[in-house]
Amino acid sequence: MSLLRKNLVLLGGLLIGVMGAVLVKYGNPANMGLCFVCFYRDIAGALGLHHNALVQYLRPEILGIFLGSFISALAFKDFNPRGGSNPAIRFVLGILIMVGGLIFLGCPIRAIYRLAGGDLSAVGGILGIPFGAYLGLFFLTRGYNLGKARSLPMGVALIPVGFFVVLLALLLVKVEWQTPYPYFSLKGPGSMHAPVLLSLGLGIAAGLLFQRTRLCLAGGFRDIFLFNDHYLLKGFLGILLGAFVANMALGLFKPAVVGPVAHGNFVANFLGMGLLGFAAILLGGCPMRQMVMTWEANFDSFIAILGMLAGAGLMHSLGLAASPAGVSGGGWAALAVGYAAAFSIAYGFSLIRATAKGSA
Amino acid sequence: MSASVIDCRGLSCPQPVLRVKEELDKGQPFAVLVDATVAVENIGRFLEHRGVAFTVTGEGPESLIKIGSGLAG
Repeated sequence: MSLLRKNLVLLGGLLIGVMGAVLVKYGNPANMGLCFVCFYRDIAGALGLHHNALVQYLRPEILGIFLGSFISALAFKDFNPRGGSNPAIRFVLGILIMVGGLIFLGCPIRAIYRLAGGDLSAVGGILGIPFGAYLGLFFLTRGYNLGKARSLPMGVALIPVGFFVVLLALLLVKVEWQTPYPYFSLKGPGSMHAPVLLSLGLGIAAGLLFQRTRLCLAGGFRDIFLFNDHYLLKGFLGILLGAFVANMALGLFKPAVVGPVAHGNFVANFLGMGLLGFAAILLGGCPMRQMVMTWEANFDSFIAILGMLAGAGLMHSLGLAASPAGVSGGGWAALAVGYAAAFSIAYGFSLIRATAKGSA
Repeated sequence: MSASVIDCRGLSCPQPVLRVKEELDKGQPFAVLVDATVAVENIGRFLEHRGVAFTVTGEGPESLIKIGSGLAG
């Protein structure tokens, strides 16, 4: 491997880090330049899957990432329609990712941004990622398997494309004619955003980078545990470094025990991100990676994204998501149910292969 | 002589690499069929780490990775 290829992921990470700081500078909520958990939550709110008026916005970054990774997958021949590897279970795992993510208040990328912005409460979440990855790998190495995906006709691959084209059209309609639907927050984190075209443009660039570098934080720890391979983790060091330097340069670095749009409950942050990591390993990739794989025409990943949107809807409709005020009793219950569900899925689908092997 | 071929098409990340790891421990040359460039890259990185020789053939996402010396066919 050439030096450039070996370090492409580091370079990609640096750029993603800088991009995050720029998006915050131009209006996104603090340490939320890019956050897949937060953005799916905002999109769920915009669509009306929940009615928390503070977190509703059709994040153009996500739509840009769709365009970017879609173009990249097509250009580099990674577009290969497939699916059918237990989509129903993947939908549930998508929900579990959001249960964990909305207890921590962020995805792995935002955890890094939070740290790079001086928010020390992110540490609990960051430590939770290897914990969750370890749980997932425990079952993966014992035969956990959701079954093989099969090739799908090209027509099926167009369904997710259609879905996101509808979202793009809704964004356009809202921006152009100020229609009542989709719902956009007038205050709170949902109302804070960079100009639409900047978000969309940087989203496209981020989509290309994500698709080419295969960045994946859950995967980063997985590769370290399994193979002592540091390639993917390098990308996240890149994000940390890039975001830190850009935050310093733009005056966004503000050291605090608990930063903005975050809470300081260490155990909840650790267990929340742990559940996200656990479910992500069972799915085969973190929330961002599911998005990129969707544009490589992996229909199962699209189902996981629908699960995440549904999960965000549930967490906010039922008032279970954490807030800067902390985690509610219902939030702890959701976390407990989430772990129980993740362990059941992991254990159940490990047994299936063990049985199949025994009878063969 | 044809060596064994493991079909890893359609498996989620990182199962293809785990299967390769399992098979590698048996010490026999073998081949892996995958259908995602990510899987090719992940398996390639893993094998480079282990210092195992391999060749990749195939166009587009579907590729055959032959692993181990003296692998026929």
